[in-house]
Amino acid sequence: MKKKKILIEEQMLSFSRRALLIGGLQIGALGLIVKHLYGIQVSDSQKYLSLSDSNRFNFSLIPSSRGSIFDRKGRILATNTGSFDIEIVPEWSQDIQETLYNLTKYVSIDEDEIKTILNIAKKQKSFIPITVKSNIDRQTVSRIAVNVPYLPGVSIERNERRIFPQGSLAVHVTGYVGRVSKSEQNKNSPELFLPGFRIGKSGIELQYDVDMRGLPGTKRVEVNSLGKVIRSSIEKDTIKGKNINLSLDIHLQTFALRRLQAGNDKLISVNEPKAKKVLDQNKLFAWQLRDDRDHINQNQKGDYVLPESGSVVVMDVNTGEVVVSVSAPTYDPNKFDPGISTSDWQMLSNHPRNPLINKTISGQYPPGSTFKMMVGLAALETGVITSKTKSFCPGYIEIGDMKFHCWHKHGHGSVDLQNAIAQSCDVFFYEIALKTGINNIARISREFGLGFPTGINLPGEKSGLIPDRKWKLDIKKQVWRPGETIIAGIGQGYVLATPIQLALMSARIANGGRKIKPTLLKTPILQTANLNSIKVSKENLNIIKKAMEKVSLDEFGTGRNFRLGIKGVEMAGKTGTVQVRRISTKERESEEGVIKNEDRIWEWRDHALYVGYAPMDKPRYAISVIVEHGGSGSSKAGPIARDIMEATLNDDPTRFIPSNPINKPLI
Amino acid sequence: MDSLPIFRKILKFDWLLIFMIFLLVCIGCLSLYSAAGGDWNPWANRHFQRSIIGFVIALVIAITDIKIIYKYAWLPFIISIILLLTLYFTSSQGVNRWLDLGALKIQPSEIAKISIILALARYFHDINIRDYGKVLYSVLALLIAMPIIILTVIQPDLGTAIMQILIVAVIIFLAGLRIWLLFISLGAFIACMPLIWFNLHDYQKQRILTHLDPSLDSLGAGYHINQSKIALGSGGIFGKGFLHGSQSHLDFLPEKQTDFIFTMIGEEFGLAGTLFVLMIFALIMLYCTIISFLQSSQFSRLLCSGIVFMLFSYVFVNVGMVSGLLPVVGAPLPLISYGGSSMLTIFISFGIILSASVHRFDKIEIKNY
Repeated sequence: MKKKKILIEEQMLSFSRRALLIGGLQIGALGLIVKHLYGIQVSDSQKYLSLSDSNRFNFSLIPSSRGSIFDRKGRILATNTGSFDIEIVPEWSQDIQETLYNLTKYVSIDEDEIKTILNIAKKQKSFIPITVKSNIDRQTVSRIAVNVPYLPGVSIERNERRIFPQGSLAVHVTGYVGRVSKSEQNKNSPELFLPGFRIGKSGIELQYDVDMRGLPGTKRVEVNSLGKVIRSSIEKDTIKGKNINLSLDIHLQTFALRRLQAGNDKLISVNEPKAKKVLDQNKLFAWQLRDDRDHINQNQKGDYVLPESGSVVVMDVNTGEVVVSVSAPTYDPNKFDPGISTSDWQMLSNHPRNPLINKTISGQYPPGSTFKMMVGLAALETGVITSKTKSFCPGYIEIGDMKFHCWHKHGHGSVDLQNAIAQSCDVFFYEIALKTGINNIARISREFGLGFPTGINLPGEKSGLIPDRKWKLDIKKQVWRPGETIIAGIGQGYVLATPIQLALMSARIANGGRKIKPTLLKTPILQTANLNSIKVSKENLNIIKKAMEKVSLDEFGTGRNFRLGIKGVEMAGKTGTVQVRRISTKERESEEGVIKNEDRIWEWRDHALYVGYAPMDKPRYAISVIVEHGGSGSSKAGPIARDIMEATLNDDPTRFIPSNPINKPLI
Repeated sequence: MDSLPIFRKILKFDWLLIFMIFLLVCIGCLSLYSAAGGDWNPWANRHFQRSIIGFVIALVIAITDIKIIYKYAWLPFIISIILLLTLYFTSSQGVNRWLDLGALKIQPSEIAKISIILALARYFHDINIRDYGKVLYSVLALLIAMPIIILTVIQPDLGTAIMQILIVAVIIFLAGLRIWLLFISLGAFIACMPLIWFNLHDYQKQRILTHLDPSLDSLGAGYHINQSKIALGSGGIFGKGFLHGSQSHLDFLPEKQTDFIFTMIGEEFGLAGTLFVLMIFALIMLYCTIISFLQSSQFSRLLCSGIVFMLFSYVFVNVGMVSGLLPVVGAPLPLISYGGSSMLTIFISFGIILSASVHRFDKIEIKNY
């Protein structure tokens, strides 16, 4: 028994010794931890404190520089410029509202803007900077810089801003840039979340947006808790966005726009007292002139009117390069960065002449008489007529119980195809359209680029409309009626075309039926490599071309009054006057006759059209001009086209050498 | 010997220990309130409710006679093995440490820690006093613990397994392991290191490697350690203030409500906060060590000191991990981290300590004499 007790005591003692040893080890281990914590929290605290702050901006993105846009001669259409922006980081500002009110002492910020900023601040993480004001002037920069200590969280950042040095001249081609909207944000492109980042919203800026953006770099920034940058180092360089070289010639573009806007009106300087009075009274006039014009239009009646609106396209018939692409009215893309004001936006979107729409590709007009080449060619191809087939025009034609009028009240007498085109006789085309049939007309028109989007490199292109029996049945759920073929024969009714399609049509006629495609880029060499040709007989096409030549050369041609002023160079083409309202029998038979175009309200006036190409013997450029509600093709659109074509040919010393002839082997 | 009436037992409770435990629970609730961005939900409320249940369990155990605990000491061990086996056979691929028992989810490897301590304490108590310290029995003890350790390793939950091994080693040592054998086993362990290395999962290797140099991959596996150190260090001596830890509130800290809660305390209350928490843990351990010295049977002695070491290992591994001293292994901070299983283990353990303290003069008969 005694031994057991001793053993138990021994066991206890041994336990105590060992437990003390373990306890000692534990104290040692805890001591190690305390020493380690002391090291982190006291000795290295400063380092970790700044790391903790820099955590907020551990890696920041450097936005890449957006690619520029140049015209065909290297003139800048869009580029970037430095801009000073005021930014605020809500986290570093104790009271963001108070800071913003203090800021109003140095720069004008209205209540709405403050509200917007406060809203943004509520929604996003508090360490993300918010742009308060973009593009502030140097004086303001220095005033704010001095007062930054009293404006917690405020900083001045140098950012890039998009500028369009040509203002409104080519806005429908270049497009504009703007802030990234919620729906455009994409997790895979973190740069889209940067506060000052801009992306293309329309035109070339949208079409080539991803290429033009480039790739963002990354930057490691260490900032102290007051927002002062202690150190920053670039981790990855940015890759600059691609530059875009357009086929556009900005000088010709300018000329074309001005010429179109002038129309046949007299231009009065805005400094004249009369003009000033008009501007004071009419908000729309004043707004439209503010951007880029110092003249106001006065029409032949002496009224002050808005500049003509519409579209001009000039295209190289061999390459499809678009040299001029005008859509009027225009607007200033510079207003969209940093952000367009509400009043400007209201003006733009409610403007009766739709400045926001690029009419060259999205404006769909009945082609009117400019469609007659297609009808004539379809008739020749189908064999229902030859170039010698004649028809008598008494000024109208009665088919069934319907009466269809020619524009020439007293008729053209006996005409063949070429004269019918040259004098734009409607009755002739009513007859041959009916004989040819709508499906044959549609087939030929589509070959020449009508009825489909041309595939030009711009977003938002419309397809126009070439109707046929199937279309009517599928879409309208009705059977095609012969009367509709008759109307289609003069390019009215259902037929619609965009200005770019009309230019393409005349280019394809001019180049002998090669299926070029329009492009706005300068290097379309590959495009011309393997072009298909339209399957029409060369002879028939030449008959049409001769007819278009007669428009200018014939003594009764509708284009005889606006021949080119260049010696030995002539333009072939076709005028068009498109009725936009139905003329009632009562009006037609009244004593005064049809109400004159000038006496109608603007919206009811005829569209004036012209399509053509020059020089007529060695075609180089095709042109289409549409003056919206501009009156007749021969008096309004034709002279405009003549002047623009003249300028184009004069501007181009190589005008008699076809660019990039296809028989030349490609290297 | 008659046992004491219940109210006498309650009077004999170590109220200071209970107070310190309660203090830690309160610190836990406040930290979870801050971790939720100043909200009692979703963590702080549940944490408090769980701790109330925990206290009830602990007090029930505390008034239970130590002899009864001795009598059923093997039961939790067997239950643990069953739970671990269930987990092994029901779990799908990958890491799975949680057993879903319908109403509650438990982590069997946590419960297993206390069951190992109970089993080994009873095992060593039952050995004939003449065989005290014999090598055979030390090795046998290791073999007894093996099933649980192996089942934990294959989960795989290396962190918990290592803690289990350490607890087993400490108990065997306290039960009178021959000193020379200790050195041999240490040598053997070091020799086995390469073997263990090659059997580790890739993410486990990665954890150890990044532990050695966290800056190697600052956005990868070492990210947690770096961010945790930044949070601790930026807290400085007195911290950024309650609810103002930018690291925690800007979500740079992973799992701030569980394993990294100590970091958040360090960021918001600085060194003062972290030392205060560590001091309370040290006082609790000291208190429990004293209780273990006062025991009159080998069973309760080993039980108490085993529990103290378990508590120590929780604290050491957790704080060591978040401060970058040890590799990242999932280890909660007792009573403060949000989580039911470890809290249950801890409260059962404190219940046992309290019971041992109340019944410290009770002798448990020694068999096989």
